[in-house]
Amino acid sequence: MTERGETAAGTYERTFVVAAPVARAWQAFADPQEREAWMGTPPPGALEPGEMKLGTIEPNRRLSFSQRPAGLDGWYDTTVTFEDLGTGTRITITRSGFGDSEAWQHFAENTQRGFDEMIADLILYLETGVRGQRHFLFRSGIGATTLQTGAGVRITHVVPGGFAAEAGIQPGDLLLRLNGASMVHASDVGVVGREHDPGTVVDIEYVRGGEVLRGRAALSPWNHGTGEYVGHPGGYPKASLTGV
Amino acid sequence: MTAAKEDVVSAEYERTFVVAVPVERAWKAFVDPRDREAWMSPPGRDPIENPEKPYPADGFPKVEMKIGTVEENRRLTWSQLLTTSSGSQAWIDTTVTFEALDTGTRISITRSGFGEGLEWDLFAQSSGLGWDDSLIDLVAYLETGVNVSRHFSGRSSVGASMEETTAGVRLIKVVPGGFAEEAGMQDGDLLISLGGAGVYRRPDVWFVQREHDDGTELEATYVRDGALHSGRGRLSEKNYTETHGWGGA
Repeated sequence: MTERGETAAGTYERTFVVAAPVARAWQAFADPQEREAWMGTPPPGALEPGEMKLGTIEPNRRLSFSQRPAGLDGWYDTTVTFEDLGTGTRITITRSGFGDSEAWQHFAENTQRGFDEMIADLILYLETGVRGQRHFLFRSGIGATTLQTGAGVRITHVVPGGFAAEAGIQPGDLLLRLNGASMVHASDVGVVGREHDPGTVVDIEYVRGGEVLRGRAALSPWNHGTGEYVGHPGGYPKASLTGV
Repeated sequence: MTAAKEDVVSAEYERTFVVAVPVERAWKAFVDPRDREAWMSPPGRDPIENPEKPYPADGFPKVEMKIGTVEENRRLTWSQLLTTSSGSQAWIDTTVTFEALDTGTRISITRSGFGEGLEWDLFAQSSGLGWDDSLIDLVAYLETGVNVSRHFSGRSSVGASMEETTAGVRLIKVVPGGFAEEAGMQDGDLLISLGGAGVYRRPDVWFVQREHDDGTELEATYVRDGALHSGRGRLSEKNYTETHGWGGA
């Protein structure tokens, strides 16, 4: 049915089938109102828009565009192809050109996870008509950036005065438990951030140098101070695509 | 770790990853029962050391196990006779290969032999997502020395078996008297959020089940017949069998 996006080597590719005619699937990408139904609306001021250039526009077949995330050097390319299956539409999304720097690594991981989530909202919208808009529900954050590793979620930067800093966390720490729940995936941080308001005091457990350490602090506002390390998470293309 | 992720509905499971320890250490993590308890089994539930104990938890049917190939530091195979909640049985074959690299060990795992039909598809999906978690625990254990045991740490249940689809998590069977039923959900509903957090994948549900004790009241939103509904319920007791459990942790 689908393959989840790879996070390796600066590219992302996902193919999935949606039970809607190809003209309808195309419209979901090309019409700004339709796009908002599944991409959602970021909280005002939450994301700094980057730049965007449109490429190929072949209705019902192929759409391509390039984006430069705010705060990062260079552009990455997205190509979306549509294939009429009779019973539905096969959509393939390819993204490439992510840079090698640490900031690009963060951007790639976040934007790919975010895009996976929006694709679920796209399929939900096209197949049921319901605007799930599950993505932009963030309320709080841990005041740190992370990368997914083979061992779990590792801290890369800590924002001074935020949740992680107050809980004693340092770059390199491996997160084990948050608010009493074992954490395995980077998306677990997102679950906590969507469940709880900033200011909620929660426990955190982490590993440093072969030892388990514990801390407790108030959750930060979502994305507070972390954007500067990673560009904005999402590369939100809404405004720039108007008129496709 | 670089992992090739499998098709989410595939009945086969395949993972390849690199762990930063020598091959002898990686091998021992699979063959030493104490090591296995640090990432694969709940304490006292090692299926080879304690074959009389239900694995992974009380209430599960007995798992028959046969060890196949044992080529030290290279290749290990075993088969398990697994039983679904309706009593269907199949031998699941697992093959683990080890390859020594300058920087560590490359481990490849394949699991196959799941039966046919929806019940086995769900079982295979639960098993695969559970193995994803356990392999992350394995790497954390080998690279930090800390027994993190994150997988079997559920504290409650949403009271339904689930299937992960491209649109999100679909409820397959709602358990009478459980959270999902109390919140108004029925078989076939698509679960959209729990406690205000969007739900996209089964691991999102597992995280919520690990975060909250049974009895905690949460709001859920779900889609049925093209409309969004919401309801509140109290989380059910942890139950690996009801939620089809290798992954219901």
